[in-house]
Amino acid sequence: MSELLVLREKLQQFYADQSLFVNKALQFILAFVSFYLINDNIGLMKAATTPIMGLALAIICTFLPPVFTALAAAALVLLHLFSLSLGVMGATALIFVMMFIFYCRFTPGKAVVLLIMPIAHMLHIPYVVPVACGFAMAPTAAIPIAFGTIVYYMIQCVKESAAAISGTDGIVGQISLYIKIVFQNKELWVTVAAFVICTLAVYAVRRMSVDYAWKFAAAVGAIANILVTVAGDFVFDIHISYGMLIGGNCIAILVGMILEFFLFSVDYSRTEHIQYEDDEYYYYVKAVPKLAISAPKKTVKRINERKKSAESSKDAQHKTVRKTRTEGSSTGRRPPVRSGETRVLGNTDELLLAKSLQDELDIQNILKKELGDR
Amino acid sequence: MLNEEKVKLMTRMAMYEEKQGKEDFKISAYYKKDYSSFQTIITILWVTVGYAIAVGVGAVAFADLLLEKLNMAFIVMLVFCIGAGYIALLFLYGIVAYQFYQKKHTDARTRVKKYNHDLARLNRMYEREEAR
Repeated sequence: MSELLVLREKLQQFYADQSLFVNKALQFILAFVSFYLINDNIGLMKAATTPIMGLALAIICTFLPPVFTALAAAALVLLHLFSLSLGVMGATALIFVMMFIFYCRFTPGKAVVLLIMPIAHMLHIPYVVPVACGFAMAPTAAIPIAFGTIVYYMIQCVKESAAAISGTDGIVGQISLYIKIVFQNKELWVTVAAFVICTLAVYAVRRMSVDYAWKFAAAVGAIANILVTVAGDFVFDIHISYGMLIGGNCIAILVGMILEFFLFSVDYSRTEHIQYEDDEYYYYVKAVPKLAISAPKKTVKRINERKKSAESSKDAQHKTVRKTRTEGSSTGRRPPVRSGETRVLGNTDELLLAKSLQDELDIQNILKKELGDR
Repeated sequence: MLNEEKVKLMTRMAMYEEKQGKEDFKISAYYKKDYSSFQTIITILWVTVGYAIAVGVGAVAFADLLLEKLNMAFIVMLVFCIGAGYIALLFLYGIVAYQFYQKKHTDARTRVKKYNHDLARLNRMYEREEAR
């Protein structure tokens, strides 16, 4: 466990030092994966599906705020839909506008969740996102999760029914067919309901003051997900793969544990319960100490200067030894060393110095001579 | 000679001006109540547009079902449901938006106050340098 805590500290330190590059690298990966998956699933406009196009767009998005990645992904989807039908593109644009009105107006920075949700669906790990958002965000995260799921089913609809839509006569007919296929899909509504309930359940349980609240939250979220989906399957007969449902929720619990380790690592065995009162209230306080360990820092002592002097001449060696002694005696102080390593380091300095001098400067003869003189 | 304290202060202020400052200055030009009310009205207008789109999409998606059950009682119930949904959504978003923009204004004012404090400190530094 302590090794893991040290690893966490090192990772946090690394992120603190390199946050700019790490954030930009993550943004680039997210943008590139998004554009690649969009092109792979609904690559109707051939000019936009080339890898160079996706790469160039991802590079541009890396240097812009994260919300632009979501906007670029929406624009790319609309571009592909334009190849299919102008009406379908218009209807999709209206749905995107609705999503913008109901969520992105308030927190444009968190529009990335809208992007992550369809990606998670395409990578077959959608159950991870509601659990992760319940842990790391406010309950309002349920809104972009629901919208992201709708976006995924819109893309799926285009992928599976592009031929049927383009074969329909007239723009109105195409819009009607597209909207019907997307929104009459009962699997969509069951999934949306399961994810919203899961997010709210995870958030509610992890905020409770019970021991191991985060572990319970991950488990409750996964169970809620499974129960709602299975109930939806029975009621609407939507044929959901139970293997993927259970496997995906197990992965979600695992991700929840990892998130707990990074965001809420506490030692419940040392929990303290305090009770006190003032004029107006009685207070029942539960204090749970955080698990923390400081990463060890390596200190490198350079002794090369004396090495150089050893190569010059024996007289110079003698002078060096004298000089070292004089400095030590005149100041009467040791160089400052880090706390916690004081005694060891102080001795180590002397030992290293003596050893290097013994090995390289043949100091024993000089010392014998000096002692003999005295 | 380079005044390290002054450089730090000016860097912090310049960073703030570049990032959040522009929006914060606009927000803090309003009184809190004015800003929250104005933004809530805008939100209500946007929500009306969004709800109209949602109802339109719903009407297209479930047109077959609606036409099957088309009679006066059903139409009245449908209109009532749509109206009730709209009012509920309006209340929900109105309250959430008012709280949200009030907090946004408070946060912006706090940051602008800190910026003004830094500005005054910088001014004092310049005065001290001129006095020497």
